Amino acid sequence: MGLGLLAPWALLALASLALPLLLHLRRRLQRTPLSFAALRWLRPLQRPRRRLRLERPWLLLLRLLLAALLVLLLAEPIWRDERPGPAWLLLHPELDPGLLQTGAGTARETRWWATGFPTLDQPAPGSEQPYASLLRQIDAELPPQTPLQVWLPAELGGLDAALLRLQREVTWRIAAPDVAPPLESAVAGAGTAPLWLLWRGADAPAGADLLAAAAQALAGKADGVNAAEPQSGGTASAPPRPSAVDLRTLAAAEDFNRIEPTTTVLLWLDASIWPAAIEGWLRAGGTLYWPQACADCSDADGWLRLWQSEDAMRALWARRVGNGRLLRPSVALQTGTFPELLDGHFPQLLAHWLSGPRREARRAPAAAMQPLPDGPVGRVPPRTLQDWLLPLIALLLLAERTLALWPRQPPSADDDSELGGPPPGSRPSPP
Amino acid sequence: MDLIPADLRAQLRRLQLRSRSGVHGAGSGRQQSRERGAGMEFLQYRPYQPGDEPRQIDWRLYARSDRAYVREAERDSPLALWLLIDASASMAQADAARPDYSRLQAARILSACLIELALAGGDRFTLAILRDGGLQLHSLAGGPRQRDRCLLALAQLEASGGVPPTDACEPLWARTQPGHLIVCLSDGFDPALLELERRLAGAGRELIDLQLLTAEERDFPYRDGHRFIDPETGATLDADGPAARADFLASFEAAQKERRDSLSALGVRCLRQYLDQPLIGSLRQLCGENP
Repeated sequence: MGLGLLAPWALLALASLALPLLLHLRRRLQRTPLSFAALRWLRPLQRPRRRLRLERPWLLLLRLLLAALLVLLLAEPIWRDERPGPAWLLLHPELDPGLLQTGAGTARETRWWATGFPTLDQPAPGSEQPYASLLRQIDAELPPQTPLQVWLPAELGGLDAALLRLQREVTWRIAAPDVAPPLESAVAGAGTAPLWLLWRGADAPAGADLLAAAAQALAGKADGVNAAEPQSGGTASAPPRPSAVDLRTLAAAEDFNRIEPTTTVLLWLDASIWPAAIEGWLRAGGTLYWPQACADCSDADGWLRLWQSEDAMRALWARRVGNGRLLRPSVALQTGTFPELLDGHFPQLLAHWLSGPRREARRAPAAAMQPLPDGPVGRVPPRTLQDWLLPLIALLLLAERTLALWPRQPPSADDDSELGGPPPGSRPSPP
Repeated sequence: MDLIPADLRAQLRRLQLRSRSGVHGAGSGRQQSRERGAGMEFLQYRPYQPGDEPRQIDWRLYARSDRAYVREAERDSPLALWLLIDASASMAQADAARPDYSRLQAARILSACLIELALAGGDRFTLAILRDGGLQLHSLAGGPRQRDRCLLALAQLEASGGVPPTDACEPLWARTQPGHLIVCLSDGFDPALLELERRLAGAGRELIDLQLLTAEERDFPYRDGHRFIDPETGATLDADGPAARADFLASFEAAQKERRDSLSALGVRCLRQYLDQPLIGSLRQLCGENP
């Protein structure tokens, strides 16, 4: 707490205080002419002393004050108030202000958790707010000892890449999740959606068994991942976990409809082109793996090298098709040409291939985002004092002008003795 | 327009103008019958001078000698009062506390009072004004008309210039006679006037020197530096009031004492009137009463 100056060197301008002093001293050095007949007995030895008498001291005082305030204005004074203020409460815009009727506690300042921190008597702002950034802002602006309480729904959006590290302990009140939207996966990929391996014909193509094994290894961790195994002939009964689809005998569209609609990744293990139903699914946003070797894939054709072996002999290319992705290896995915198939880490490699691009974690469970009170301790941002200095200066200027232009008072009896008599030759009126 | 304030006029009634010499009888000259009677005894002829009234010229003698002579008569009046008024520029000085009451104004009022006294006593009186152009003399006479003439001359009086040299005051020599009472109203700063007074006193005229001083010359109350200006010569001097005070008062008082001593040695009665004091005190002194 205290007064500070942003530009202390401006105090050098305090030398300008000498200006009004000089203005008020100058006239005093002039000599008042005085008719004096007994001049010959006055000796010229006593020069007039330079007496430091100031004229119109009130006006001088006003002018000095004005000059000092102008200098202070130049020095840009600031005021830091680090006393703990009233407790603050931030309410998430998705919550009802009526919640605060119960348990708002001692908080005096209740605001919306939104840009500008509007008060609660204003309508609720939109729920799309940079909540993490706002929380850091209010944490930096409030004095360190001011308690802060945050009411928020069960799921919190508006997050960013950094953890919430604040300089104070925040009371983190999670309201009942009655209006919380469904939780979206923080990390989208192949790990949670069912995985299908499809081909045409009765015989599994070469390498399918290895791929199926790798997919099975992935599925061992996640329940919803299924490797579809070739099943020869007949129609498969509708399984709760479809294990195989044979497209050889069924119409393509009907077959494909048997795949669960939440499927995001398909491994089409046939050298021929995929049916139209799969094409539509792919363009709608699916991820399709096609083992047909693509020796001449290059960046120029819109292909992207997703993975490359250490000796740069093998790679996996990806390409955008509609909203979906198409994956192709650079060489045939067989044990002879693709040694990684036999590697023990191939399931992880497969998961890496099939997982989509990382999506930002913009939403998180509110309980997981409890701010950590180990943030850097900052100083309270100072308040500038110019807002009230300027009206004060204007007021003083007005007073100074009024006083300076006010008609002079008739000289008092005290001043009379300093004035001379009537000028010589003037004819006095009779008493 | 009456120069004399009412209270002063009331106080005047108890006063009587007296000649110190006593030549003209101790108070016996106040009877008006002596003025009006036929006691105008011929004294002398003297040549006409500008300012003499034409009716005073002896036309019979003019017809015989072709020269204008004025017939002067020894009157029974015990007193002839000359009011010698200094009208130099320094007489315009006044105190700051009362800027319209200058030395000259005080001299006017004193002169009017003395004229009233002389009129009451049946004495003759006249004005002799020392001004820039020289000496302005009025004829010596008595009576209300003479008083009115003198009051008019007083009202028209203005203070300017300096005191004329002593030689320019030659008519005063010729017109005054030994035994005449001359009251000199001045500030007493001018050496020429002092010389004139000394000569008059030395020549047997009864002279009263009434010095008119401002209160500032007595007190020197200035608290700041000032540019002091001599109204007659225009000389200036910058001085600081408090620093110059003691020295000025000492030298001023010494000079005035020297002046009074030199005049007193010649039998001149020296009175002093400060502008912030009532005039009646000086008038009482002048009439020989204790103030």
